[in-house]
Amino acid sequence: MLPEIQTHLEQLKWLLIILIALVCPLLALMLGGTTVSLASASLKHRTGEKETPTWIDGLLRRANPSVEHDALVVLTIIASLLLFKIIYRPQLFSNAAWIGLILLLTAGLGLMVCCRYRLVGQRPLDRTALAIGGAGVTIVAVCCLALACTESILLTPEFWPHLSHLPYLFLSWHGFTRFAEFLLLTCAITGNALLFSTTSPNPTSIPPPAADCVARRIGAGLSLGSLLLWPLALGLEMTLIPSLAGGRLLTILAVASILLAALCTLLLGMTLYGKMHTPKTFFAMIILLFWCWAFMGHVARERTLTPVALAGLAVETPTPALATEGESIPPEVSPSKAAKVLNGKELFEQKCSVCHRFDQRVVGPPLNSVVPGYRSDPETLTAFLMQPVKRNPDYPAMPNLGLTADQAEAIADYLFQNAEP
Amino acid sequence: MSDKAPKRPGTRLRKLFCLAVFSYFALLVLATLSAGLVRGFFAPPTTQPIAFPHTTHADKLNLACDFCHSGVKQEASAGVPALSVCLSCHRAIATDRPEIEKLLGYERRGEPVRWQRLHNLPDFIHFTHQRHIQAEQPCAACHGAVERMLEVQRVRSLKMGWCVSCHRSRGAPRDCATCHK
Amino acid sequence: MDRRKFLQLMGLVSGTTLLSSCGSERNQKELISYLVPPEDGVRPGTAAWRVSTCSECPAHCGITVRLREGRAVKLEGNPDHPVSQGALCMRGQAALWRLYHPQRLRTPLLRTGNGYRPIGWDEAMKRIAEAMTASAEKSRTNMLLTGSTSGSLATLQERFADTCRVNRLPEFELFNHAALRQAYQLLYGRPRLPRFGIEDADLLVTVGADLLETFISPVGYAHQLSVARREKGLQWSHIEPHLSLTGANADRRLTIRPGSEATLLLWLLQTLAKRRRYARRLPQQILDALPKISLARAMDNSGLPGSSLTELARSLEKARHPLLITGGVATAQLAGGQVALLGCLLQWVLTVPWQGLDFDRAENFGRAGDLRDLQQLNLSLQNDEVGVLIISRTDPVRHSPQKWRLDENLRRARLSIAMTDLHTATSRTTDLILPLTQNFERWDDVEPRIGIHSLIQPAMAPLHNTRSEGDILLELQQRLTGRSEAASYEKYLQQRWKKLFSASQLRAFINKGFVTKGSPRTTISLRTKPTVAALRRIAPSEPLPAPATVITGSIRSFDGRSAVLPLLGEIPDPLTTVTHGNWVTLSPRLASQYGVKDGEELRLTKTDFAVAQPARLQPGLPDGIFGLPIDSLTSGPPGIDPATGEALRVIGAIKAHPTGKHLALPILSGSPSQKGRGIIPKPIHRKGKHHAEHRSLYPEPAYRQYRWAMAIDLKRCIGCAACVASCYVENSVPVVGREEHLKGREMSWLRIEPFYDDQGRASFIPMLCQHCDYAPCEPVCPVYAAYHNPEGLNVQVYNRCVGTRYCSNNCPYKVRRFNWWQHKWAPPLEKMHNPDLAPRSKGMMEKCTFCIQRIRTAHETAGKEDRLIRDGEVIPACAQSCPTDAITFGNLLDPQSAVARLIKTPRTYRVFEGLGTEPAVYYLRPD
Repeated sequence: MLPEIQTHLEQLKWLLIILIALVCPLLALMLGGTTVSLASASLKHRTGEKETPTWIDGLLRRANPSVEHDALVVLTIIASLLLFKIIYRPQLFSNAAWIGLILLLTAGLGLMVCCRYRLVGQRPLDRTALAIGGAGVTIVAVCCLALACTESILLTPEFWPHLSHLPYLFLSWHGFTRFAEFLLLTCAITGNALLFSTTSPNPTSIPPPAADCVARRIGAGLSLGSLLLWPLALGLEMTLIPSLAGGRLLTILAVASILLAALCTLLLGMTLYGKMHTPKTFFAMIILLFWCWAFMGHVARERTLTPVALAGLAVETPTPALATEGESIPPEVSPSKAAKVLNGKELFEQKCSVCHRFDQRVVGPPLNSVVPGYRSDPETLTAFLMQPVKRNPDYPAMPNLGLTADQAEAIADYLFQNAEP
Repeated sequence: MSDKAPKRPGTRLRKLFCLAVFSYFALLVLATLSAGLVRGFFAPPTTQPIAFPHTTHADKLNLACDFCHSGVKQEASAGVPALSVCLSCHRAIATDRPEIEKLLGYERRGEPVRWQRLHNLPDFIHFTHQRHIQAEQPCAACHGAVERMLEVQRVRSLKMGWCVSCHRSRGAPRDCATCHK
Repeated sequence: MDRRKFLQLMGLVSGTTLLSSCGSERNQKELISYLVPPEDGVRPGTAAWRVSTCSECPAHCGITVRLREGRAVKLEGNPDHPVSQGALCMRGQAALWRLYHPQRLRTPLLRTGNGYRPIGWDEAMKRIAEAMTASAEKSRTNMLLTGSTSGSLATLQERFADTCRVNRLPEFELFNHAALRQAYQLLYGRPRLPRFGIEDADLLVTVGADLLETFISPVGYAHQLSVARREKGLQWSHIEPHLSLTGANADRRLTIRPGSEATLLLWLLQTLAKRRRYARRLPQQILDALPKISLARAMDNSGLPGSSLTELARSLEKARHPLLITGGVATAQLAGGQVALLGCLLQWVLTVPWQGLDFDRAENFGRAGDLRDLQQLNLSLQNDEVGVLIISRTDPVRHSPQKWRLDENLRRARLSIAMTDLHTATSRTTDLILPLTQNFERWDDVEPRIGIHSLIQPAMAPLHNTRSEGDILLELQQRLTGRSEAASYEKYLQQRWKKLFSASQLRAFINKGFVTKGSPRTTISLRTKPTVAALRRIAPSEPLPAPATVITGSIRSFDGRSAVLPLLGEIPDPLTTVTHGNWVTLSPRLASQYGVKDGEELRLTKTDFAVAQPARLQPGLPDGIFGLPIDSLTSGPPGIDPATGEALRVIGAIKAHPTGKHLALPILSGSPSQKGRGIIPKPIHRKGKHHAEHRSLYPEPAYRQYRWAMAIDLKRCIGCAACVASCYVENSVPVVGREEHLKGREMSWLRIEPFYDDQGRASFIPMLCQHCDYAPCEPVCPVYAAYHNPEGLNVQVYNRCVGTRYCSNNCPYKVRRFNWWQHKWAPPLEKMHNPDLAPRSKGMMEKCTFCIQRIRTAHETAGKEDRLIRDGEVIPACAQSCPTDAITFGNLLDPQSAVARLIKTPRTYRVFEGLGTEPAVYYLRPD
């Protein structure tokens, strides 16, 4: 990894969280809005232009976007995905795969933008627009599912080496749960948008038109429903999250987000019963929920993706699609059976110098006093090194270091070279 | 001053709604907490009786894993080293350090060290280290980079799905009876 | 044996090395380190084997003990041992239950009123020493009464008796074969039971001797019989008044009237002595002294048709190596001495010429006495002549006739001491009880046959505060005389072995578990004068009046001593298939005469003998006989034969009447008849070849390297159920008890099914999981807990099972067992649990696995050496323990394996082949 990235890793991670916290609500709003628009437009299309119930029009009006909004979303998404890859450099995907995902997501978003533009433009709707919109929504949804599953498999690095043989390991129940949570939050924010967005400049004075009422009720229902389902999804996630990823902070965050959802529900309920709260409160709360959700993922990743955990994962390179690329975050650990160059000096320093010096007693006797005795019969020394026995009562027994014959010979040679004659 | 303000018609309903919402969420908060508890998220970190640093022994001194865990090549369990293995060096080395003094205390009392087990499989599972070493699995594949851990932690889930996916990718036996006793 | 080795061995036993728990598979939270690394070859998670000897009965078969984590978990026969040849009977397999019995005596106990008070060893020893000194002053004699003892303990007892002036009484065993020994003493001057050369015989005639159950060395005989049948074409006729397992397995069984054995033998002797071949065997004086008996009289007396008698005589004459053995119930009756004498004389005529009797390798019953000695003791007790009476490893109170009142007379001794490991009837009447260490906890040696020394080696440290008999005697010697033979029994053994064995012999002794010291063969010669005198005293008697009772020794409990082991109560009696409980057998016709059915109580009385037990109908039992297993006796035998001192086991003129009570008997067999199902096919079943279609949703079985299969030869199977006991211990199968058996909830993975045909001939078939290729149990498991593995086994994954029991429902062989309860093993029985196996809990289905743990171990060993598993490397527990090698196991895909060859014989068939299950267990028809 580039040293600059290494030094600023913490800050980059926080940047990523903030970006995710920003981009997810916007993406969710866009997704939700487009879905609602598409649904109402296709209903309108079905029932014909003349007999459209007014509430559908109302829905359409409420779900209108702005171009700047969409552009912002697309750019932020690209930025956060790139950042994700840079920070975590998962050994899962090659750069090509990751860029492919980004492009696909962008394409989906682009399709969605086109469709919404046409919807807003009040041109007569045709099937192609709806189809494009539908395709866009589907692509984006699938990409979000893929991202949720990626997030999930990042929490189980032990499966990374097997992805190339068993690609279905990429999908996981935990990933689906994360996606479900994202969907719930999408519904919540869309519902809120439907509830609070206005077509007329003065919402409070004039009693709202009937069509708006239906749309508002749909929005409220969406919002309330998703907030009520939120703790179930979160409870499910606590059950499904890999055990090494969970911890006290994660549980507390989960509980906090449930409490937040509770507060939001209560306030929403009160709003519906008359007491008005500013829309900003709700949007803030939902965005806070998004942030909790993203932060939980971050916390889980921090617990799991430690260098010691990532060591030893020999990721294979069979197919280019999911090939490993670059080094892993920590350098690979050499297995205990790796062939070492039989350098007597190195072996001595690794294995013997703990207890032996040549000129002084450390744990074992000074080697200058023992080695010369073997010069007449060097093979005895090699044999002794392989099978040490307790000789001298003044010193503790030399442990059997499990040396192979070659290693013992190399050490013996080194000893003979360096000890006194 | 005798007439009260008329009660708003939805007050009781509102109160009921609040209560319902509150109890629903309270229940689910409890459920989430208990899910966390059951899964061991609140477990205190395991403390070993002697703070043995693998960083010194396995990394700095570059002792091979099976120098201490000698059972790994011959039998099912890797085992922990007998006290005499530790003492073969530490009877003389670094005896002033408090952890070594603890070790010497164990020797004096003739008491074995009760290490807290981290990698535990259920007792209906038969796992042989020897076969995995023979298949040239590095120790770090399942235990992580132990030589870089000051305190050993478990970094793999040790779940059956993980074992099976490795067996599947490498063509090792996938028969249930291989591991289920 | 050098000191270092012994100390090393001591290190193993004394438990200073603590064990790493990572091998003990108990989901431990801690890893406990050793203090000192273990011996070479002793590693946690792997098994170590030690040779030793079994002491459940006086046969003393050699065994090997499997140790896991320093605990004995399985016993197997020692393959080279001359007595057992690698087999072990069900009592031997159950010996581990004795070691870990929850009710084992743990400390010395002193009687206080009706209860016991635990005391320390020091106090106990002090009391004994004081009492022994005091009784010498009061002119009472101290006495020592033990069960069958041999080897170093016997010599120590002798020294103890000499130095401490203790009267060493003849050893007491219920089955003491006194009549036979007295006959041999009379005939040859050697009061020894010879080793019978069954493996060289081509015709064997046994009169009453239950070779396969309790007669001297049942495992050895079963093995010899199997070898002789295979290689010498042995024909075996068994003559008895009742039906025993031995009789059920003989080629021909001749039913005679009880009490007519003497007449039959006399007629045979008379007839054969006249034949040309044996004309000069007997001196004329003996021939003249023989009472004359005609064929008609013999027919009338024995109830056999004349053709059978003449056929018997002819076959004995024609055989090249005929062997006749008498014993068992034939000599345990009022004319028993005559039967023994005549039988042994017949042996002289028939067997001694071809050296079929080996008196040099004789069975070691040298110091055994008979019940007359016990009667003498009783008298001494009555006359207040006995000071301290030490009773060790024997139960005279149980085995003495009730009318002697031995239990009351025991109290008249100054101090009566019982040395035993579990409570017996004797220990409940003595003043002091000293707990003994078990075989698996101490060093010792035995000499089951003259010249064969067998080692008893400890597998673990003593579980409780017990001591070995040798140590107790040495300490007493020290206290009484101020000096002892050795400081401890182990030192005594070391001294003795150094003297007895050369260095290489000693090494072999420790490593192999036995040493055979050669002895020159001496010839025996007939002592004519005493024989003639004895023959003149013979008066052929009438048979016992019907109905008669025959008290049989039990293959499950020997003389009743092993009944205390719960495992043996759980395994059904091979003939009646009754498990927990006692019974009296009678033929269906006799039962209808008395109007009783299974379970209805019958009371048998004769003068002062009375027994009331539930009836069990037994096909094949002659009408006019009640069969009473020895455990069914509530008190001792009805009486003794004053001529020989044997306990009477055949009594005539029994009065029986039903009491009207009904006791539920747990009978495990569904029916004694096959009802035409062809489980053991008769010729009529072989007519049609069954071709069943296989319909399976699973892929066709395709085996690549291994296909495990088993071949069971029904001709060799004797129904002894050693395999059943071995399976129980190897797989830690729970023992469920009487109530569950009454509900039909047996747990045995392997069962012996006896089937009787119309003539009352029995055949036995071991039934176990057949590991079918198209197993009906596999497709119906909703959770895939029962599946077919790539090596042909039907595997049950215990922790996946949810307990729907559909698999058991579907199994046509009914071999699946369900754990209805969470079985608790009373401590320390859980130490016997095999760590290679998962513990099954409530709600799991289990069944025979072809010992998959052994297959898995073999895979690992073979994998280490990068080769395939060789034939004979995997031996399941059942096959290992079988005395007759009836079970063979191996890989069908290996053309050289024994199994692959066995399935091609014309006798091979599979049970219920028509169902299309394609079992992996092949049976070989008995005919």
